[in-house]
Amino acid sequence: MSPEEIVELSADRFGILTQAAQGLPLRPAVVLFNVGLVHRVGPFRQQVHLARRLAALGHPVLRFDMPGIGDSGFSASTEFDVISDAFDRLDLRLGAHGYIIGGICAAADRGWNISLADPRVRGLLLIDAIARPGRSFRAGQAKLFLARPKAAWPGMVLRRILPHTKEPGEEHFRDWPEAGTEPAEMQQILDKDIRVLAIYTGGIAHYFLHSGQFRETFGKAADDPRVEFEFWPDCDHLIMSRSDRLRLHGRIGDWCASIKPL
Amino acid sequence: MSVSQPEYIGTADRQLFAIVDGNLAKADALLVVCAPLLHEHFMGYRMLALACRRLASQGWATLRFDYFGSGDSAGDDEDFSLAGASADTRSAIAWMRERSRAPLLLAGVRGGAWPATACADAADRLLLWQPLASGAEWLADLLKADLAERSDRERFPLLPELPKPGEDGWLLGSCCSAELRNELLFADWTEPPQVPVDLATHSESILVDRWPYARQITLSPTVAGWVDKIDMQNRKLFGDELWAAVDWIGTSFEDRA
Repeated sequence: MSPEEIVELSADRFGILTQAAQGLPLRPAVVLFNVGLVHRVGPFRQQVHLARRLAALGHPVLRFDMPGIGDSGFSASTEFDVISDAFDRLDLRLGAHGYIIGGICAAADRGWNISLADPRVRGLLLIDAIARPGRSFRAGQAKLFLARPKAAWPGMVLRRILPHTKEPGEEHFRDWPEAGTEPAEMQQILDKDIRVLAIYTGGIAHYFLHSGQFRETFGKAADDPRVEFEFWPDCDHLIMSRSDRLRLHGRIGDWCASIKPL
Repeated sequence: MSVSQPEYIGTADRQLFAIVDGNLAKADALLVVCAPLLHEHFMGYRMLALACRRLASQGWATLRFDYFGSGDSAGDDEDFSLAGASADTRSAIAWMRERSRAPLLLAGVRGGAWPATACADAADRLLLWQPLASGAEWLADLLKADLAERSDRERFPLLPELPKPGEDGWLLGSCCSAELRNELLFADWTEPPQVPVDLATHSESILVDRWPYARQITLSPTVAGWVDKIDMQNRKLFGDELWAAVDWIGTSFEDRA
């Protein structure tokens, strides 16, 4: 029998709830947001795999489509309203035990904003989240440049010098706070006693190239023991490799187990 | 715009996630969609959702479903097979037939054209949307594309050596079991379906020559391009060109009448 069921959300939206395995200690629910424009199953079905894995560890997991993605229509509601409503409905259904939220890319951005605004968040999962270029990023660029064959250098230099195409850039698809506010916002998140797992992959080399960038972006809040940071340079942004996904889901499962319910 | 209604169909040991758009009780025509396979499933999802909603606004009732072992349906990725997809398609058609007597168009998108064609006898009309030339050719393309992605310096800029090692049974991030590979090797278009056929293709499809009697529409490169980039960077898709193709589908049973 499938552990999944359809749950009704606001404004004709719905979600898929993967029920927690029975007989395990009570754990916070996990809410996984859309990865970019991919509907709730995620690239290569990985949100389904992760949900089933976490449910087997005792976490109920909700996946649903934000407005304009997958099966959801466009909506005048704010993202906060949509997500807050999902929390309200899960509170009624499962009891108010807190939430672990976030995901890859835009899902991490969404998780960041909700963590600042909703008191029910207990854990924040950031995969390829915000980072600012600084001294470490430039050091990473230099290291990357030197690691390439000399024949590739002219092309790399040209790409830096020539004007960029008019294709949409990172700023068009991400929802990042104003530059410089990240340390204060991370501190606000920690002041709510939210635990953070931040993993950066090698697939976002256009804005993250060096583990030192994490502290440069978030300041001394990055050193808090409730913040766990890892750099996985051998992974791509979509986590296309199955073995990388298994490793990631195992890491997330271990981290989730450390988060206590409300 | 209609509201999408999620359902579980199939059986207790083969539960399938499905979405109904439109009013089944009042529908003039029915559509069952066989989704594309593997990574193309998530890449084409939004396009098919929007297409079904548009048809629902024109009096159709549509059913999209995820094959067992794919999407939101039960089952592990390894459980997916073409034979299973055909069985799931028959379940989906039966579910719709139990609820409406309206004529039923069965659509197969890309690799979904194979289960759709295998079940065409249960439908009143068949639509093949960007059908693949052959399973063997597609498998060869997948192997080539998988190596290209694992060798892509943009995807793995920090890996010292490329390609990233491949994984047995997995292609382009999705499970492609030995059983599925074997099925794909023999997936072809030898037998023409015994129901009227609509073809929505780009100009290179071999079926345009093979089945000249089919009603045809040539898709613009913009509409056909949803399948080109695995990172889903083709964001120019959902415009008037797609609506024109969907509206053409909407006339399927008008032509027959």
